[in-house]
Amino acid sequence: MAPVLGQFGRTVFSNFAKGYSHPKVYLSNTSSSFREMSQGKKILLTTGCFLTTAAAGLAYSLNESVKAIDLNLHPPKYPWPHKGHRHEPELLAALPFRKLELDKAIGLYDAASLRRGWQVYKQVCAACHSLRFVAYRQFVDLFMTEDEAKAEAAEATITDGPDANGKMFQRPGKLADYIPSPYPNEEAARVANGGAYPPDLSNITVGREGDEDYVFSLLRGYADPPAGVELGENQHFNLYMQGNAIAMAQALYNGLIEYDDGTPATASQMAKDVTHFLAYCATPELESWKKYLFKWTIISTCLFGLAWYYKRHLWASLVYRRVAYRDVNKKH
Amino acid sequence: MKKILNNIFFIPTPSNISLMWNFGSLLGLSMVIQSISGIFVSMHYCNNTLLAFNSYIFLSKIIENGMILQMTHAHFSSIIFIIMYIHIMKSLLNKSFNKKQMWISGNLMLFMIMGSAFIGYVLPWGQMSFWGATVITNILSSIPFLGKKIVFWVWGSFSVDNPTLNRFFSLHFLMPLMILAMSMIHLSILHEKGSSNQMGLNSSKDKIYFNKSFMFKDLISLMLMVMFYCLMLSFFIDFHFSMAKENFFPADPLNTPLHIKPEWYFMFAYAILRSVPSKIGGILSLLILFLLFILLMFNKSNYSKFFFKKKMLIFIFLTCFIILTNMGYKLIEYPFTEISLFFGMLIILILPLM
Repeated sequence: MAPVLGQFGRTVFSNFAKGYSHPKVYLSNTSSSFREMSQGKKILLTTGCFLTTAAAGLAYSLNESVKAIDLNLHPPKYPWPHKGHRHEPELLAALPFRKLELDKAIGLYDAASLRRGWQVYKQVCAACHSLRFVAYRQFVDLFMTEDEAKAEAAEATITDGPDANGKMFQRPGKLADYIPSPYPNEEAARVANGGAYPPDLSNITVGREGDEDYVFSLLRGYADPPAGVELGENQHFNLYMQGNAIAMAQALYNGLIEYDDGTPATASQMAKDVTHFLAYCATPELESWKKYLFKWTIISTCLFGLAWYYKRHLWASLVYRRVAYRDVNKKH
Repeated sequence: MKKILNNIFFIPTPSNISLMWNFGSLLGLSMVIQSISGIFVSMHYCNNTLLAFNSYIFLSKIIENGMILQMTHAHFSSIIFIIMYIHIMKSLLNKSFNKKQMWISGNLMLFMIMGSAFIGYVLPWGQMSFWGATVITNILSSIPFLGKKIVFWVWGSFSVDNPTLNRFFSLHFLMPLMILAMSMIHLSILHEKGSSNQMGLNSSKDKIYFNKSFMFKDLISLMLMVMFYCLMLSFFIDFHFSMAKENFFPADPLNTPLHIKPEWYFMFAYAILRSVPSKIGGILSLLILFLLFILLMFNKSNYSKFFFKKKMLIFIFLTCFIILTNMGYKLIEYPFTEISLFFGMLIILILPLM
């Protein structure tokens, strides 16, 4: 490898020093002003270019690390199972290497966490927040059996109608129903919550800067306001909210609910589970999308290889031909 | 029919053109992918202000494989712009702007694709769609005397509302067809004039039939694009990279988002627009930029593409474009407005020098 690289480097360098940016432009390169440049100037130019690139790289990395265009706290990155962080110790021990990118491609939802998250949503969040675009049937075979999901749907009361008399009526939910909203409309929600509108949660993890990390951080980011900060009525201090004032009071406390599977219901555990569940609600087809991507990565790589080989095959005679100009006046 | 096939398969093509000449065909193929996915997306779309957002979310959540359809359509708009900008860079480098008809038809396509992308962005009727439409259509109000009337005429109402959405949907269906027709014109002019080549020589010296050789060369780039797309999305990029966060919430005329910003491909124009303090000034500078860009076809400079100064000019043009794109994301405050003003002026001044 080293000799090949060395040879390549030498060729490139010698071409550059001669003023040819590419071996192919040898003939037509008469107007390049690199050729007339002195050795010192060339070295100066090269150093200047290197320094400019380094400065640009430094500026980019500084910009990336700070991103200080807004005066708000950005959430840290957390390991989400569907974003590619696996927690099974046996699996981790068995892997010969660990690449985060590989995990991102194959990371899927954690069914147990989704089940707990639904429990948290139902018992805590559903009092104020709607989940308009999620149906009970989506839970079947994901983290519930069909019977469980039917029972879950039957607990809800759905307004249906109009019936034969032209009246709306109430009925227990079915699998095909969407999760009912706590308030009939936005105005009712605002009145009940002191003027603040609790947003619909079906897109919350993709609709906020910082995605799942933001939602988790927000749920865990309550603190006493520091000295000198005055909050309005019905407002609470949250580190991760824009402007630090949030109308929602802290909702999750240690031991607030009791999980069916016996997991200790700490506030962090509940925040993680409900965020994971909301991430599922936002992108329910993530798993099939990843499956398609995985297939198409393999298929297109193979097809690219084949097309490349066949193109080389077609071009072989063309690339290696030589054009010779014969002097017709000269007698052989 | 035979004539058309002959025009496709047996067109004499310079034998030495590099992979940079593949981006044109790649652009056509991406447009085809975009059109097909667009037709399927439109089957699930309702163009009414009350239903548009819901239908878009239903497509991406509830409908079987709808997310894949919707994401393909959203991602390929970005991909088309990436390919188109590289294609334009290639023609700047090779002085292809001297072919007047090619340059004009290409520029018309560029503006139509920009318009189509903007109109398509309004259709989901999310927060950013609504406010983006409000901001951009309001540009027309800076026309003296008639501005206000023209804006109302475009809206079909007294604000961005249902009639606006309806006509934008129709236009979003119509425009790609016009772009496809224009690309046929672009292609037939190319076939009449012949391709340039990277040696800067007369292309007619050494030509071979397009036929299988170049078809497989174009196939390579298509496969490479699909491969990169899948690899990037599976390993590196967030799936929602091309969608504004605010657009996941329905349009609310009473609630302005904190930062109204277009997609990345309009950022350079947006930065120039904002850098000048007065409304009409920003629009004028943007118009001057586009006008100078079109007028490049009258450029008679004898610089060879290998000339050092020419290379540097192209490099500065590219750098300005990248910096302006970056500046569009920043707040309107001390260092950023000045930087975008400087680079906006530079990109306008550098065009006549090419």
